[in-house]
Amino acid sequence: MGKKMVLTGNHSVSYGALLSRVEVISAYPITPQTQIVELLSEFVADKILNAIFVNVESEHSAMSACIGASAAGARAFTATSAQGLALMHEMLHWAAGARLPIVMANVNRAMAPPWSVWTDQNDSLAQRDTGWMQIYCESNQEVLDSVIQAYKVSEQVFLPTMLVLDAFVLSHTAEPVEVYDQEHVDEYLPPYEAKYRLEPGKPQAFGSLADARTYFEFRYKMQKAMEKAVGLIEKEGELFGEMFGRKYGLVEEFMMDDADYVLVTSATITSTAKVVVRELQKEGEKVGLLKMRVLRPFPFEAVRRALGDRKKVAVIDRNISFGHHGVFYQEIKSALYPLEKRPQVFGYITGLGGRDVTPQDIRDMYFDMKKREKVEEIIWKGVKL
Amino acid sequence: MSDIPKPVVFRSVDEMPEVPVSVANTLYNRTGSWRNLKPVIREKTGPCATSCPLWIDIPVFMDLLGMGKVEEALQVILKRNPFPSLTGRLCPRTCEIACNRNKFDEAISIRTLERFLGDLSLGKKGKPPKKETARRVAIIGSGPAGLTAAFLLRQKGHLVEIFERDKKPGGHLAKYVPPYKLPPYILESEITDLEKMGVKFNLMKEVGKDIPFEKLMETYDAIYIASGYSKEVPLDIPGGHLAESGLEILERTLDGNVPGENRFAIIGSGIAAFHLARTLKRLGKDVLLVAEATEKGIKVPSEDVVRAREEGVEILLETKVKGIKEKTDRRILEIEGPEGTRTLEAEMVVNGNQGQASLDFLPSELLEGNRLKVDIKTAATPMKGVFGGSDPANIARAIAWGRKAAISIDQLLNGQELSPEARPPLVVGYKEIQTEYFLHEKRRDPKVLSVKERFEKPWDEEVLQLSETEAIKEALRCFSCGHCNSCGNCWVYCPDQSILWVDNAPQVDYDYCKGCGICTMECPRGIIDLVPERE
Repeated sequence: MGKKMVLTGNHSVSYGALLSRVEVISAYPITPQTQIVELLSEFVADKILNAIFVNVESEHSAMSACIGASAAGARAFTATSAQGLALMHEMLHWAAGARLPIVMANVNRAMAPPWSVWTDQNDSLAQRDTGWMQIYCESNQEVLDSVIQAYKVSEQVFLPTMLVLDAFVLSHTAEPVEVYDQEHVDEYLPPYEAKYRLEPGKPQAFGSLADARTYFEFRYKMQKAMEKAVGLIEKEGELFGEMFGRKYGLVEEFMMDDADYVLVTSATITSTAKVVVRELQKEGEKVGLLKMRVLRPFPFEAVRRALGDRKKVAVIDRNISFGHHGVFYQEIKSALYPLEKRPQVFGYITGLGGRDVTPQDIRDMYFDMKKREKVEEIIWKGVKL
Repeated sequence: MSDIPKPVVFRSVDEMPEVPVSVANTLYNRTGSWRNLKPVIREKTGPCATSCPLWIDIPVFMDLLGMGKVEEALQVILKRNPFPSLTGRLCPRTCEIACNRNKFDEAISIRTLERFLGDLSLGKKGKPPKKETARRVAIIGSGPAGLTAAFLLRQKGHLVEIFERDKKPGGHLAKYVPPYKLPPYILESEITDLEKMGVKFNLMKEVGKDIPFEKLMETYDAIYIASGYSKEVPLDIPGGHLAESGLEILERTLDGNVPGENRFAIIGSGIAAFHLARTLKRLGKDVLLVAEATEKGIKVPSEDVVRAREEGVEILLETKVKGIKEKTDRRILEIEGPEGTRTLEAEMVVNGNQGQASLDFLPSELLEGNRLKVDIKTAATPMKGVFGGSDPANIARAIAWGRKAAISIDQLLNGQELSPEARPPLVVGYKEIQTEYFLHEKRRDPKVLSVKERFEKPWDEEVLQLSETEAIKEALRCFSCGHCNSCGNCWVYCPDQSILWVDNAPQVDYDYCKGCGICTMECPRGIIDLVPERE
């Protein structure tokens, strides 16, 4: 079943889209994403993938084309990064508000200025409230698997999904990846049957004016769809595990039994931290790790279950909400607030603009947290002070 | 309208669709009631059509020709002008002077296209009428006015007889127009068609001489006096009698009886003066044309002036001839021009003044001095059943007179009140044309023989025919002023989908049109007016 290929993170996205049988691809090139759509354009040109590739002049138009295609009932895909994502901002609201199950890969790249092509999460986190689901991937295999799962979930709740992977650390790094047989994926992901679609001969207005008598309810429905997606992501991740041998959830608990101290990570920092946690446990430290895979919808129950009963939690953020704290830190803290018994939560900001986060850095953060008595909300790790 | 869905009211979130999509429509909301101004689509016409004495629907035939509908385009012309192959060669093209496109780049080659279509009608019009009325009409003169009236009246089934004092029918077309401007076969073909229709030509029958006017009055139910000019206004200068008649010399020359003199001075700037000057020049004579007119004041088509100069006719403008003296075999002209007074020599001096009619065969009650008393709208004279009027200096006007007379005579014979045709009321000016919808493009003129070719073959038609492809391309340049060519701009730009498309033409849906006026602004050709709702 399937075959092993050595793929970069970017090409893992392309293969994920290929196996999902996307029908319309519209994109505009931007480093470090370009390889994703390059390979897809080759698939289309070589007739390996039966899709329409729409060349456009900007990311705004790329998303617009996907919106049109999706509204017409096609499975639409695009990919972007950083400034490109920012340029799409208006259309991100449009895609979500129109309830279109588009899937997009965003390669996390630090926002300019100053210019950077290296990774951090501020670009995707700035789009947190647009109504898109967000999945942060740790490995190239997870990237490929998540594209397929994203369509499966999106098409059930009518919400788009943004698949996020780190620039270079994933996007340009090759790993062995299992690429499944098409028939197998087809079993998991049926063709998209749009419930509402633009159809010649059946005129309907999509996303037109809704006055104060109806707008509110559409927003209510979006929130309900997000809440429904929480369970669906778990269910579809479970089913994926049964069919393909790799199970996915909203979060991943790593060596959490008896852990008094927990490191909370996302994306590729997770893999590094897993190595450190394994070492620390060998040294007798009572430490575990919680990987945040899905940020939207936020997995409140999973986070509370995983962290509620611990002594201290260190949230490692490769991002910052200027004037506040790390974004994952805010989110975790607010999730834990309703609990009667809560751990102390420390916020670490590290690795911005693609600066390496080494095992030693993570080790330092762990011991720093362990020795602190008072909660610190921003602890800068690795900045040259 | 009963199938219009009622507005939908959602009472709870569960009744609403998952995505923001319309579940009903807004047709129940008749937004037309909001309107203060309303767009009115009305067919108008261009300045070309109203400046044409025949009011030919030029924008319409251009539209059809542009679509390659050659036969339909021709029919539009024939509705108003039975002889486009004649006007297409000889009319002074006031339409092109008035053409809105002059202000954009260059006028459309309207006359050329009329000739293109007109030549396709040659030999195809000679069909007898479907029914005969047995009413008899006499027409005096077989120039364009007479031929036109004959054509139209015969079409109506009346018995038409033409009285022509010359041996050939055609009036001045037969006598005074050189073959290089109108090849004789064109006129012959038109005459043949008229004969096939059943028009009777009485040649060499001069009314007043061979047959008295009173006799016509007794025999015919109606008479149309369409006689042309026979002699020029005499030169009222000392020695004026020394000048020969231009029309006579022209007729003689075109008949092959070329005068033996070698140096000619032609006084005047009418079309006959130019025809004579050019013909003599082509036959190797020295020709000088002296006229009081300014360059702009010359009344003949500008190409005649240009070609006369090309061919070497010397033209002295703004110059008065003060007198003519005789000197053995010479004539001495005293002239006063911008360069002062001087004298010129010529072997023959020709009076090229405009002609005048000789109407002395008519009863005095029809005359006012030397002119026919006619109503300019109906061509009626003070005598019942007698109509008249023509304009030999302008073929389009002559045909318009013939048309007027024919309409009135037909009305008279049917016992109807005389009611002339109404001029097209609404004309679109250049300011109403949305020029941003048009590309600049040079006008297509037909090929004209070079001066060398004209001297080598002096009688060959000098202007060649435009090819069909070129004719269609040229027609496509037309703005189509005032004529809806179904471009669809109003339909495209209406923000309320209130332009309906019915039978390939726009219609305003007043139930929903809010009167924003965008259609009036986007109509490239000024057909849609915005008028107050309560008018």
